Amino acid sequence: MWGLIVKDLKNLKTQAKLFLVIAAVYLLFGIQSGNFMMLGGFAILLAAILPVTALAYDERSKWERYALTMPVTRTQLVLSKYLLGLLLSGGVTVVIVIAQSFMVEFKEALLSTLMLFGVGLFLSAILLPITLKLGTEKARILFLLIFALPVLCGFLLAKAQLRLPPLTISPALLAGIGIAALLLIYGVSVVISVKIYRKKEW
Amino acid sequence: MNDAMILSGVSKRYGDFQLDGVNLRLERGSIMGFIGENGAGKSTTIHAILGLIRPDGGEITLLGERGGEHAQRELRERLGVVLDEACFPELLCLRDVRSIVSKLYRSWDERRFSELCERFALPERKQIKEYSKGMKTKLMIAVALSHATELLILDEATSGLDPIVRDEVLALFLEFTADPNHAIFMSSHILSDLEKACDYIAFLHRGRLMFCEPKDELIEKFAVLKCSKEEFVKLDRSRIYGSRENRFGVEALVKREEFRGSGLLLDPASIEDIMLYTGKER
Repeated sequence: MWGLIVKDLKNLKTQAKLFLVIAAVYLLFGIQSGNFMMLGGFAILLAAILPVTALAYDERSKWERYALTMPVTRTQLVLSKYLLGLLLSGGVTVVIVIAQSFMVEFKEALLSTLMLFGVGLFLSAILLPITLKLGTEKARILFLLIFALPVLCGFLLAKAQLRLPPLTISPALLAGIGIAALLLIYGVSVVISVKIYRKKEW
Repeated sequence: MNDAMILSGVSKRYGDFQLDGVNLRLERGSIMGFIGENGAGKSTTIHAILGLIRPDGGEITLLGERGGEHAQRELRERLGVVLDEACFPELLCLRDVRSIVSKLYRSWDERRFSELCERFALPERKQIKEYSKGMKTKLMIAVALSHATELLILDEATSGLDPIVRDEVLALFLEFTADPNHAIFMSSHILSDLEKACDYIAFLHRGRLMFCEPKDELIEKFAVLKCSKEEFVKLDRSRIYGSRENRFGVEALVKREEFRGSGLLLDPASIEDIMLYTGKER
């Protein structure tokens, strides 16, 4: 399975250059405004979406059918994409938390970044099964719609950060519910993806 | 278990195409050529063997274990595969491929792989997308032979190669099957290659297996009969396996022994003749 992730990382390497340029722009913006959350949002969403890009590459080179003749199971192939997403967005989260903690209190930096991390996971949980089912070509159209959502959420979150609306339940409980829901969605997404992929034929 | 591969009643339906209960048996130590026209179902059969599609019915046994979609990790270590239309992701180079595949196969043999890459003159730093079709095939052959492979399955592996490399690759295959534990199942349109290398020929036509026989027996058994149109009409049609008219008369595929001593001209039949005539008539 590690081999599959190494393959994706190597495959995405060329894309990384482009992202670094975009990230640099956001970084400058972040330094100027004293807030790295824009960069954070961009980076984490990106990390969550890159597994889909990796799938698109696989599709183009017809790698999957070849990989499946090797000692690689269909389940492993699916799991490797989820793991890739976790790895990338996890890594980016750590970097952002550190950067942001220079600007604001560590706890706040951690919480706000984790929230974005959660959004990223949620997004990949939605995107991956759709891509596996429809193929990247058809799925892309749907993504345009889905994409509008997190951007909106990101803006709302950024706003909410300044002045949280009064809560009727404790923030801890809310966070707990959020995390539980996310884990559930993520788990269900993995199960659905594996099921979809088991049925796939080449 | 001396069988490398057994297919029994493997079938699959796609719209109006049907792979119709294919039965095959490939012994270890031998090479089987798998022939048939485009769309005959060769790739479908190979994809079923490899578990890339789920057959509607039938059993697939590879190296004494359940194959196809049921093939376990350990079994896949022992399969070497070259597909017609698939390869490594385009942005990778040979070094990347090496580091990936060596992690996927437990039985990976680094030295063997380097040796083969050198033999095939595969460039170390070029991206796969800049590889020619032949180079991609060579890369897949190198991977296929660099782990604990006992059964090599090739889908149109030699078609993209030039005659010199093809010859080299065929020599490599013969080398591989010198080990009595090894076997090769290869589909190809280049019948001369198969004629050179194969012990058995299996012919698939419109989803049905027409025959699967030792090559030498096949060539021995069949002959191309040449006669005039007048002579041809007098012949027993049930003994004609296919015929073709031309300017000079008629050529027909027949069983050599049924026409021995008939006084008619019998030429040796090639695999191509056998495929063309039997495929045409039925």
